[in-house]
Amino acid sequence: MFTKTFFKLFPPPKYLNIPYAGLDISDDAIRCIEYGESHHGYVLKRYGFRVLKPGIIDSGHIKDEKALVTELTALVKELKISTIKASLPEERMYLFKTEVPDVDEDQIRQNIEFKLEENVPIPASDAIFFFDKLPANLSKGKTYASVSVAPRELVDSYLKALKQAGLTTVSFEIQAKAIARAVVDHDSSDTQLIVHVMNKKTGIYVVSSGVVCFTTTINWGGELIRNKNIADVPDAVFSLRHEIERVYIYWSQHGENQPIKSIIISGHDAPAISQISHLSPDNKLQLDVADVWKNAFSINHYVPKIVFEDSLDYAIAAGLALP
Amino acid sequence: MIHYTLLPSQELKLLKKEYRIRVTIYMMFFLSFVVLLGICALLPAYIYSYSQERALLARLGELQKSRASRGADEIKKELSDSTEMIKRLKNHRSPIVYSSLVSQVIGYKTSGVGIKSISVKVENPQATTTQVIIIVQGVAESREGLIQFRDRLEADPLVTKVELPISDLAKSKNISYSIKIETIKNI
Repeated sequence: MFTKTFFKLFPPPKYLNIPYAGLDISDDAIRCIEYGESHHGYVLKRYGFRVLKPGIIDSGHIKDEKALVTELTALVKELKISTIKASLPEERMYLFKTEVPDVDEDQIRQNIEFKLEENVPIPASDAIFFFDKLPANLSKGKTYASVSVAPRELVDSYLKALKQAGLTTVSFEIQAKAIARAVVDHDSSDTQLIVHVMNKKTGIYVVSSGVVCFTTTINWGGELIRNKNIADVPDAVFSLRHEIERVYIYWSQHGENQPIKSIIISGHDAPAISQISHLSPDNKLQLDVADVWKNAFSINHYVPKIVFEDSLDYAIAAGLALP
Repeated sequence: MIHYTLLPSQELKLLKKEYRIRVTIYMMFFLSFVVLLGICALLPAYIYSYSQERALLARLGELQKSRASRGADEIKKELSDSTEMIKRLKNHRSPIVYSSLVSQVIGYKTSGVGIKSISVKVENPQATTTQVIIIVQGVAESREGLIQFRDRLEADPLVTKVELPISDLAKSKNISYSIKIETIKNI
């Protein structure tokens, strides 16, 4: 307690921080962003991506470690990065909300460890977890934590590949949290639905006061509608609309009086998807295409080299790269 | 600050170690910077004192030269000689005046007593009080005259002892004698 107060009053200087880049490892590509600092906030210092051939990573499983290491090494050489904060595939992670006692973090950690096996289908010894305390306005006087759990073998497999590529990992983070950090206002206390559209899958996340409270991934990708007229693919559009509606209804019933106020769409196909009519389950909901630089810099002061459409692909890396 | 999440504990330990090394390096760097800053801060003072020292040494050299040119060295030599002389005078003690000793001995001589030689021996010339032995040799015309000479010597309060061998009194005329006179002299 004393240490926490001390460091709050006298925070360590910024130059003691280990500089790192955000590395998004998805099934279809690896993307990296590193920010530098300027008078107006952050600026893009390094960025780049490597497309992964199908079969290297499948649904978050590393199937061809050698090929992944080759691609990672090429990216490392190109961008000259050494320390990273990497993402873990959302579909292989577990996220749950649990009530915890209002004590210090070590004790909360122990408490969650006891509850782990009740909430995830892996033994506590094979799990690595991390938690965020939910803001007081969501807790109704109680203390809740949003717990992210990763299987140890998943973390080890990603860590091994990254080490082989000569990278030091300072942190792993669930993709949903990284996206939320990039596209949701830091000081927002609203509940928002993030729809992150990738090539072959889509992640739907509920974020409340900046904390990811619910996640689900569906096998619906942007490639289904890419270069097509939306009217020609009504079934594809229907599946996405249906999933969004399902999550919206679920959250309306379990969301502790924190209704979803807006939908944010990210991913390469976000502009096209945002044009789909009746995508939103409620016409009152605001539907926005994500601004991945929202919490890094203002485009009024700094224009990044990455164009808007491409920046949507970097949502995860942009979130990871933020401190 | 390490923003770690979902990392195995071994990795966290490594990261913490790296962070500590980082902190140590920064501390060392900061310390070196402070030392360098201290040196820079002291540099003007050092330059100032160095120039002052140089100026004073130069002035001292000039003063020495000027003193030499004004004959100060000669005065110093004279002063040194005078000091030595004063020192010697301070240590000076009244010497034994041999002529006065001889005059005294001759003064006690009676008629008919001839003196061939007088030898004076100072036992310890360094001491402030010493014994002086005077040996008087000669020929006396009569025994009475010699005895009278001896008695007059013995009557001197400064004389402690007068030795006249009995053999010297064996003859009554033309007596060859040798008198040993012992006296104490304060120097």
